[in-house]
Amino acid sequence: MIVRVKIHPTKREVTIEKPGRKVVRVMTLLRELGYGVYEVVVVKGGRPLTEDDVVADGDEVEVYEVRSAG
Amino acid sequence: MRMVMRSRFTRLGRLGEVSTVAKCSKCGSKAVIKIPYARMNLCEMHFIEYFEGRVATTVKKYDLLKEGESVLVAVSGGKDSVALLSALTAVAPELRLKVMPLHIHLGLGEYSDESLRVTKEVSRKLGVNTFILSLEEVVGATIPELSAKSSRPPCAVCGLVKRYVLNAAAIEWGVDAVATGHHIDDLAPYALKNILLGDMGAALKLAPVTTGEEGYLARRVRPLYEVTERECLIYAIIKGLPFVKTLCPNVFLGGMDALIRRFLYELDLRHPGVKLRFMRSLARMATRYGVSQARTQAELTRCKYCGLPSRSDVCGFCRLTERVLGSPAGPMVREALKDVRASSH
Repeated sequence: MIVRVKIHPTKREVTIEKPGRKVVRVMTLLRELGYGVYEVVVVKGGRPLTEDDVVADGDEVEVYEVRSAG
Repeated sequence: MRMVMRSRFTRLGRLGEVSTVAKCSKCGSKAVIKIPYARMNLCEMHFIEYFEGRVATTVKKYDLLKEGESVLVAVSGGKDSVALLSALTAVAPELRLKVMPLHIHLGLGEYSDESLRVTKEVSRKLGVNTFILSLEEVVGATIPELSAKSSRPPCAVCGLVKRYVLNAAAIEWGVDAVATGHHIDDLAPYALKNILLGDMGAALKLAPVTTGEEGYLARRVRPLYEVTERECLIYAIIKGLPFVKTLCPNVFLGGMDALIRRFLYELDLRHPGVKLRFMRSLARMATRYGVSQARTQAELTRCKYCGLPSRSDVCGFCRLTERVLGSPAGPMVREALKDVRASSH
Protein backbone atom coordinates (compact mmCIF):
# COMPACT_ATOMS: atom_id res chain seq x y z
CA MET A 1 0.00 0.00 0.00
CA ILE A 2 1.06 3.58 -0.61
CA VAL A 3 0.01 6.60 1.47
CA ARG A 4 0.98 10.13 0.54
CA VAL A 5 1.72 12.48 3.43
CA LYS A 6 2.03 16.26 3.39
CA ILE A 7 3.69 17.68 6.49
CA HIS A 8 2.99 21.19 7.85
CA PRO A 9 4.50 23.68 8.42
CA THR A 10 7.57 22.45 6.53
CA LYS A 11 5.44 21.51 3.47
CA ARG A 12 7.55 18.37 3.12
CA GLU A 13 5.87 15.59 1.13
CA VAL A 14 6.55 11.96 1.94
CA THR A 15 5.32 8.68 0.49
CA ILE A 16 4.94 5.76 2.88
CA GLU A 17 5.02 2.31 1.30
CA LYS A 18 3.92 -0.81 3.14
CA PRO A 19 4.14 -3.73 0.71
CA GLY A 20 1.60 -6.47 1.39
CA ARG A 21 -0.57 -4.30 3.62
CA LYS A 22 -4.08 -3.07 2.79
CA VAL A 23 -4.38 -0.64 5.67
CA VAL A 24 -2.14 0.79 8.34
CA ARG A 25 -2.92 2.39 11.68
CA VAL A 26 -2.18 6.08 12.13
CA MET A 27 0.03 5.16 15.08
CA THR A 28 2.18 2.99 12.78
CA LEU A 29 2.31 5.75 10.18
CA LEU A 30 3.53 8.22 12.78
CA ARG A 31 6.17 5.81 14.05
CA GLU A 32 7.35 5.47 10.48
CA LEU A 33 7.59 9.28 10.21
CA GLY A 34 9.36 9.58 13.57
CA TYR A 35 6.60 11.43 15.43
CA GLY A 36 5.03 10.86 18.81
CA VAL A 37 1.23 10.53 18.82
CA TYR A 38 0.61 13.85 20.57
CA GLU A 39 3.27 15.79 18.67
CA VAL A 40 1.12 16.06 15.56
CA VAL A 41 -2.42 16.06 14.25
CA VAL A 42 -3.18 13.77 11.32
CA VAL A 43 -5.94 14.94 9.01
CA LYS A 44 -7.69 13.07 6.20
CA GLY A 45 -10.30 14.81 4.09
CA GLY A 46 -10.35 17.76 6.48
CA ARG A 47 -11.10 15.59 9.54
CA PRO A 48 -8.63 14.78 12.32
CA LEU A 49 -7.80 11.13 12.92
CA THR A 50 -6.90 9.51 16.23
CA GLU A 51 -3.93 7.19 16.52
CA ASP A 52 -6.31 4.21 16.35
CA ASP A 53 -7.78 5.10 12.97
CA VAL A 54 -6.46 3.46 9.84
CA VAL A 55 -5.41 4.79 6.45
CA ALA A 56 -5.71 2.73 3.31
CA ASP A 57 -3.88 2.34 0.02
CA GLY A 58 -4.07 5.53 -2.04
CA ASP A 59 -5.03 7.76 0.89
CA GLU A 60 -3.59 11.24 1.14
CA VAL A 61 -3.17 12.65 4.62
CA GLU A 62 -1.86 15.86 6.10
CA VAL A 63 0.30 15.88 9.22
CA TYR A 64 0.37 19.10 11.22
CA GLU A 65 3.27 19.42 13.63
CA VAL A 66 2.07 20.82 16.94
CA ARG A 67 4.42 23.72 17.44
CA SER A 68 4.27 27.46 17.45
CA ALA A 69 5.11 28.89 14.07
CA GLY A 70 5.89 32.43 15.06
CA MET B 1 -18.25 -7.39 28.36
CA ARG B 2 -17.23 -9.66 25.52
CA MET B 3 -19.81 -8.01 23.24
CA VAL B 4 -18.55 -4.54 24.10
CA MET B 5 -15.00 -5.60 23.31
CA ARG B 6 -16.13 -7.00 19.95
CA SER B 7 -17.78 -3.73 18.99
CA ARG B 8 -14.72 -1.72 19.91
CA PHE B 9 -12.14 -3.93 18.23
CA THR B 10 -12.38 -4.46 14.50
CA ARG B 11 -10.12 -6.97 12.79
CA LEU B 12 -9.14 -5.66 9.39
CA GLY B 13 -7.93 -8.87 7.84
CA ARG B 14 -4.64 -10.71 7.89
CA LEU B 15 -3.06 -8.14 5.62
CA GLY B 16 -4.04 -5.22 7.80
CA GLU B 17 -3.87 -4.23 11.43
CA VAL B 18 -6.22 -4.41 14.40
CA SER B 19 -8.12 -1.16 14.81
CA THR B 20 -9.60 -0.06 18.12
CA VAL B 21 -11.62 2.84 16.76
CA ALA B 22 -12.08 5.42 19.48
CA LYS B 23 -15.67 6.38 20.27
CA CYS B 24 -16.89 9.69 21.64
CA SER B 25 -17.34 9.41 25.41
CA LYS B 26 -20.50 11.54 25.17
CA CYS B 27 -22.40 10.18 22.19
CA GLY B 28 -20.59 7.05 20.97
CA SER B 29 -19.90 8.35 17.46
CA LYS B 30 -16.41 8.32 15.98
CA ALA B 31 -13.92 10.29 18.08
CA VAL B 32 -11.51 12.77 16.51
CA ILE B 33 -9.46 13.39 19.64
CA LYS B 34 -8.35 11.52 22.73
CA ILE B 35 -7.84 13.71 25.80
CA PRO B 36 -5.86 11.59 28.26
CA TYR B 37 -5.84 14.10 31.13
CA ALA B 38 -9.64 14.33 31.00
CA ARG B 39 -9.99 10.56 30.30
CA MET B 40 -12.24 11.35 27.36
CA ASN B 41 -12.50 10.75 23.64
CA LEU B 42 -14.61 13.28 21.77
CA CYS B 43 -16.28 13.57 18.36
CA GLU B 44 -16.12 16.82 16.37
CA MET B 45 -19.29 18.31 17.82
CA HIS B 46 -18.53 17.46 21.43
CA PHE B 47 -14.91 18.60 21.11
CA ILE B 48 -16.02 22.05 19.92
CA GLU B 49 -18.41 22.18 22.87
CA TYR B 50 -15.59 21.04 25.20
CA PHE B 51 -13.06 23.58 23.87
CA GLU B 52 -15.37 26.57 23.97
CA GLY B 53 -16.70 25.47 27.35
CA ARG B 54 -13.16 25.30 28.68
CA VAL B 55 -12.46 28.85 27.47
CA ALA B 56 -15.67 30.13 29.09
CA THR B 57 -14.85 28.28 32.33
CA THR B 58 -11.32 29.73 32.36
CA VAL B 59 -12.71 33.25 31.91
CA LYS B 60 -15.10 32.78 34.82
CA LYS B 61 -12.87 30.70 37.12
CA TYR B 62 -9.92 33.10 37.02
CA ASP B 63 -12.11 36.20 36.78
CA LEU B 64 -10.41 37.25 33.54
CA LEU B 65 -13.34 39.27 32.25
CA LYS B 66 -16.58 40.46 33.78
CA GLU B 67 -20.00 40.69 32.18
CA GLY B 68 -20.33 43.72 29.93
CA GLU B 69 -16.58 44.20 29.46
CA SER B 70 -14.78 44.68 26.15
CA VAL B 71 -11.72 42.66 25.22
CA LEU B 72 -9.07 43.38 22.61
CA VAL B 73 -8.04 40.09 21.01
CA ALA B 74 -4.55 39.92 19.52
CA VAL B 75 -4.86 38.03 16.23
CA SER B 76 -1.71 37.09 14.35
CA GLY B 77 -3.39 34.63 11.98
CA GLY B 78 -1.69 31.63 13.59
CA LYS B 79 -3.74 28.66 14.80
CA ASP B 80 -3.72 29.73 18.46
CA SER B 81 -4.94 33.29 18.02
CA VAL B 82 -7.48 32.17 15.42
CA ALA B 83 -8.80 29.52 17.85
CA LEU B 84 -8.91 32.14 20.60
CA LEU B 85 -10.86 34.60 18.46
CA SER B 86 -13.33 31.93 17.36
CA ALA B 87 -13.88 30.56 20.88
CA LEU B 88 -14.24 34.01 22.45
CA THR B 89 -16.65 35.06 19.72
CA ALA B 90 -18.68 31.91 20.39
CA VAL B 91 -18.90 32.42 24.15
CA ALA B 92 -19.22 36.24 24.02
CA PRO B 93 -23.04 36.27 24.07
CA GLU B 94 -23.18 33.95 27.11
CA LEU B 95 -20.52 35.94 28.97
CA ARG B 96 -21.82 39.29 27.65
CA LEU B 97 -18.44 40.32 26.24
CA LYS B 98 -17.56 42.69 23.43
CA VAL B 99 -14.79 41.18 21.30
CA MET B 100 -12.48 43.56 19.41
CA PRO B 101 -9.78 41.83 17.33
CA LEU B 102 -6.57 43.64 16.36
CA HIS B 103 -3.99 42.48 13.83
CA ILE B 104 -0.55 44.07 13.54
CA HIS B 105 1.18 43.83 10.16
CA LEU B 106 4.81 43.49 11.23
CA GLY B 107 6.46 43.74 7.83
CA LEU B 108 7.98 40.27 7.81
CA GLY B 109 7.69 39.93 4.04
CA GLU B 110 5.44 37.21 2.64
CA TYR B 111 4.84 35.78 6.09
CA SER B 112 3.18 38.99 7.28
CA ASP B 113 1.21 39.35 4.03
CA GLU B 114 -0.10 35.81 4.45
CA SER B 115 -0.91 36.48 8.12
CA LEU B 116 -2.95 39.54 7.12
CA ARG B 117 -4.79 37.64 4.37
CA VAL B 118 -5.67 34.82 6.77
CA THR B 119 -6.76 37.23 9.50
CA LYS B 120 -9.13 38.98 7.09
CA GLU B 121 -10.53 35.62 5.95
CA VAL B 122 -11.09 34.43 9.54
CA SER B 123 -12.74 37.74 10.43
CA ARG B 124 -15.13 37.37 7.50
CA LYS B 125 -15.92 33.80 8.47
CA LEU B 126 -16.60 34.73 12.09
CA GLY B 127 -18.42 37.93 11.21
CA VAL B 128 -16.15 40.16 13.27
CA ASN B 129 -14.56 43.48 12.41
CA THR B 130 -10.81 43.22 12.89
CA PHE B 131 -8.76 46.38 13.32
CA ILE B 132 -5.53 46.38 11.35
CA LEU B 133 -2.40 48.38 12.05
CA SER B 134 0.60 48.36 9.72
CA LEU B 135 3.86 48.99 11.55
CA GLU B 136 5.57 50.25 8.40
CA GLU B 137 2.77 52.69 7.62
CA VAL B 138 2.73 54.07 11.14
CA VAL B 139 6.38 54.23 12.18
CA GLY B 140 8.05 53.91 8.78
CA ALA B 141 9.96 50.73 9.59
CA THR B 142 9.36 46.99 9.72
CA ILE B 143 10.51 44.49 12.36
CA PRO B 144 13.53 43.38 10.29
CA GLU B 145 14.56 47.03 9.80
CA LEU B 146 14.13 47.91 13.48
CA SER B 147 16.06 44.75 14.38
CA ALA B 148 18.92 45.36 11.94
CA LYS B 149 19.32 49.04 12.80
CA SER B 150 19.21 48.46 16.55
CA SER B 151 21.34 45.26 16.45
CA ARG B 152 18.73 43.55 18.61
CA PRO B 153 17.34 40.07 17.88
CA PRO B 154 14.17 40.22 15.73
CA CYS B 155 12.13 38.20 18.24
CA ALA B 156 13.01 40.64 21.05
CA VAL B 157 12.03 43.62 18.86
CA CYS B 158 8.85 41.88 17.69
CA GLY B 159 7.78 41.07 21.27
CA LEU B 160 8.47 44.64 22.40
CA VAL B 161 6.50 46.14 19.48
CA LYS B 162 3.51 43.82 19.90
CA ARG B 163 3.28 44.35 23.68
CA TYR B 164 3.49 48.11 23.17
CA VAL B 165 0.91 48.33 20.38
CA LEU B 166 -1.58 46.04 22.14
CA ASN B 167 -1.38 48.01 25.37
CA ALA B 168 -1.56 51.33 23.52
CA ALA B 169 -4.62 50.15 21.56
CA ALA B 170 -6.40 49.03 24.71
CA ILE B 171 -5.70 52.37 26.40
CA GLU B 172 -6.63 54.50 23.37
CA TRP B 173 -9.84 52.57 22.74
CA GLY B 174 -10.85 52.28 26.38
CA VAL B 175 -10.91 48.50 26.22
CA ASP B 176 -11.05 46.60 29.52
CA ALA B 177 -8.47 43.91 28.75
CA VAL B 178 -6.13 42.45 26.14
CA ALA B 179 -6.48 38.72 25.40
CA THR B 180 -3.62 36.76 23.87
CA GLY B 181 -3.55 33.24 22.46
CA HIS B 182 -1.04 31.83 24.95
CA HIS B 183 -1.96 28.26 25.80
CA ILE B 184 -0.58 25.87 28.39
CA ASP B 185 2.19 24.64 26.07
CA ASP B 186 3.44 28.21 25.61
CA LEU B 187 3.27 29.05 29.29
CA ALA B 188 4.28 25.89 31.18
CA PRO B 189 7.81 25.62 29.70
CA TYR B 190 8.54 29.26 30.51
CA ALA B 191 7.12 28.92 34.00
CA LEU B 192 9.28 25.86 34.66
CA LYS B 193 12.34 27.53 33.13
CA ASN B 194 11.93 30.57 35.36
CA ILE B 195 11.53 28.38 38.43
CA LEU B 196 14.65 26.40 37.50
CA LEU B 197 16.58 29.65 37.06
CA GLY B 198 15.34 30.92 40.40
CA ASP B 199 13.10 33.71 39.11
CA MET B 200 9.83 32.91 40.86
CA GLY B 201 8.51 36.41 40.19
CA ALA B 202 8.80 35.92 36.43
CA ALA B 203 7.13 32.50 36.69
CA LEU B 204 4.18 33.93 38.58
CA LYS B 205 3.69 36.57 35.89
CA LEU B 206 2.63 33.70 33.62
CA ALA B 207 -0.66 33.47 35.52
CA PRO B 208 -3.99 33.64 33.64
CA VAL B 209 -4.35 37.34 34.36
CA THR B 210 -2.07 40.28 35.08
CA THR B 211 -3.90 43.27 36.44
CA GLY B 212 -3.67 46.72 34.91
CA GLU B 213 -4.33 50.32 35.79
CA GLU B 214 -6.98 52.41 34.09
CA GLY B 215 -5.75 54.76 31.38
CA TYR B 216 -2.20 53.48 31.55
CA LEU B 217 -1.69 49.74 31.71
CA ALA B 218 -4.19 47.28 30.24
CA ARG B 219 -5.15 44.09 32.05
CA ARG B 220 -3.77 41.09 30.16
CA VAL B 221 -5.75 37.86 30.08
CA ARG B 222 -5.05 34.36 28.77
CA PRO B 223 -8.32 32.54 28.08
CA LEU B 224 -6.42 29.54 26.59
CA TYR B 225 -4.56 28.99 29.88
CA GLU B 226 -6.02 25.51 30.35
CA VAL B 227 -6.03 24.22 26.77
CA THR B 228 -3.15 22.59 24.94
CA GLU B 229 -1.57 23.64 21.67
CA ARG B 230 -2.79 20.41 20.05
CA GLU B 231 -6.36 21.18 21.13
CA CYS B 232 -6.09 24.66 19.56
CA LEU B 233 -4.92 23.09 16.31
CA ILE B 234 -7.65 20.45 16.25
CA TYR B 235 -10.30 23.05 17.11
CA ALA B 236 -9.13 25.29 14.22
CA ILE B 237 -9.18 22.34 11.80
CA ILE B 238 -12.61 21.08 12.84
CA LYS B 239 -14.12 24.55 12.69
CA GLY B 240 -12.63 25.01 9.22
CA LEU B 241 -10.80 28.14 10.31
CA PRO B 242 -8.02 29.29 8.02
CA PHE B 243 -4.68 29.78 9.77
CA VAL B 244 -1.09 30.47 8.73
CA LYS B 245 0.62 27.19 7.94
CA THR B 246 4.14 28.48 7.40
CA LEU B 247 6.88 29.23 9.91
CA CYS B 248 7.85 32.77 10.84
CA PRO B 249 11.19 33.45 9.08
CA ASN B 250 12.75 34.32 12.45
CA VAL B 251 11.43 31.41 14.48
CA PHE B 252 14.01 29.61 16.64
CA LEU B 253 13.08 26.15 17.87
CA GLY B 254 16.10 25.13 19.92
CA GLY B 255 17.90 25.87 23.17
CA MET B 256 16.80 25.33 26.74
CA ASP B 257 13.18 26.19 25.96
CA ALA B 258 12.92 23.31 23.50
CA LEU B 259 14.46 20.88 26.00
CA ILE B 260 12.05 21.90 28.75
CA ARG B 261 9.16 21.68 26.34
CA ARG B 262 10.25 18.15 25.39
CA PHE B 263 10.57 17.19 29.05
CA LEU B 264 7.04 18.43 29.81
CA TYR B 265 5.70 16.57 26.79
CA GLU B 266 7.24 13.28 27.95
CA LEU B 267 6.14 13.87 31.52
CA ASP B 268 2.56 14.59 30.55
CA LEU B 269 2.52 11.54 28.29
CA ARG B 270 3.39 9.28 31.23
CA HIS B 271 1.40 11.23 33.82
CA PRO B 272 -1.51 12.87 31.97
CA GLY B 273 -2.64 16.09 33.58
CA VAL B 274 0.58 16.92 35.41
CA LYS B 275 1.18 19.97 33.22
CA LEU B 276 -2.31 21.27 33.95
CA ARG B 277 -1.92 20.70 37.70
CA PHE B 278 1.41 22.56 37.59
CA MET B 279 -0.13 25.59 35.89
CA ARG B 280 -3.18 25.56 38.15
CA SER B 281 -0.93 25.59 41.20
CA LEU B 282 1.03 28.48 39.66
CA ALA B 283 -2.21 30.42 39.17
CA ARG B 284 -3.18 29.77 42.81
CA MET B 285 0.22 31.01 43.99
CA ALA B 286 -0.04 34.13 41.82
CA THR B 287 -3.41 34.90 43.39
CA ARG B 288 -2.15 34.18 46.90
CA TYR B 289 0.92 36.37 46.59
CA GLY B 290 -0.82 39.11 44.60
CA VAL B 291 1.82 39.10 41.89
CA SER B 292 1.89 41.42 38.93
CA GLN B 293 -0.19 44.24 40.26
CA ALA B 294 1.84 45.28 43.28
CA ARG B 295 5.20 44.32 41.79
CA THR B 296 4.60 45.69 38.32
CA GLN B 297 3.07 48.96 39.34
CA ALA B 298 5.75 49.62 41.92
CA GLU B 299 8.41 49.04 39.26
CA LEU B 300 6.79 51.18 36.57
CA THR B 301 6.65 54.86 35.79
CA ARG B 302 5.33 56.78 32.74
CA CYS B 303 7.31 57.30 29.55
CA LYS B 304 8.06 61.00 29.09
CA TYR B 305 7.21 60.76 25.38
CA CYS B 306 4.10 58.60 25.13
CA GLY B 307 2.86 58.44 28.72
CA LEU B 308 2.61 54.66 28.74
CA PRO B 309 4.28 52.30 31.25
CA SER B 310 8.05 52.32 31.47
CA ARG B 311 10.77 51.12 33.84
CA SER B 312 12.67 54.39 33.30
CA ASP B 313 11.80 57.86 31.96
CA VAL B 314 11.60 56.51 28.38
CA CYS B 315 9.74 53.26 27.54
CA GLY B 316 11.40 50.46 25.56
CA PHE B 317 9.42 51.20 22.39
CA CYS B 318 10.17 54.94 22.37
CA ARG B 319 13.83 54.25 23.20
CA LEU B 320 14.13 51.76 20.34
CA THR B 321 12.42 53.95 17.76
CA GLU B 322 14.25 57.08 18.88
CA ARG B 323 17.56 55.28 18.43
CA VAL B 324 16.67 53.78 15.04
CA LEU B 325 14.45 56.44 13.49
CA GLY B 326 15.66 59.60 15.21
CA SER B 327 12.44 60.29 17.10
CA PRO B 328 10.28 58.26 19.50
CA ALA B 329 7.35 56.66 17.68
CA GLY B 330 5.11 56.03 20.70
CA PRO B 331 3.03 59.22 20.27
CA MET B 332 2.64 58.44 16.52
CA VAL B 333 1.37 54.94 17.28
CA ARG B 334 -1.17 56.28 19.76
CA GLU B 335 -2.44 58.80 17.18
CA ALA B 336 -2.58 56.13 14.46
CA LEU B 337 -4.62 53.86 16.72
CA LYS B 338 -7.19 56.64 17.14
CA ASP B 339 -7.45 56.83 13.33
CA VAL B 340 -7.72 53.04 12.98
CA ARG B 341 -10.63 53.00 15.41
CA ALA B 342 -12.33 56.03 13.83
CA SER B 343 -11.99 54.69 10.28
CA SER B 344 -13.81 51.49 11.20
CA HIS B 345 -16.98 53.36 12.16
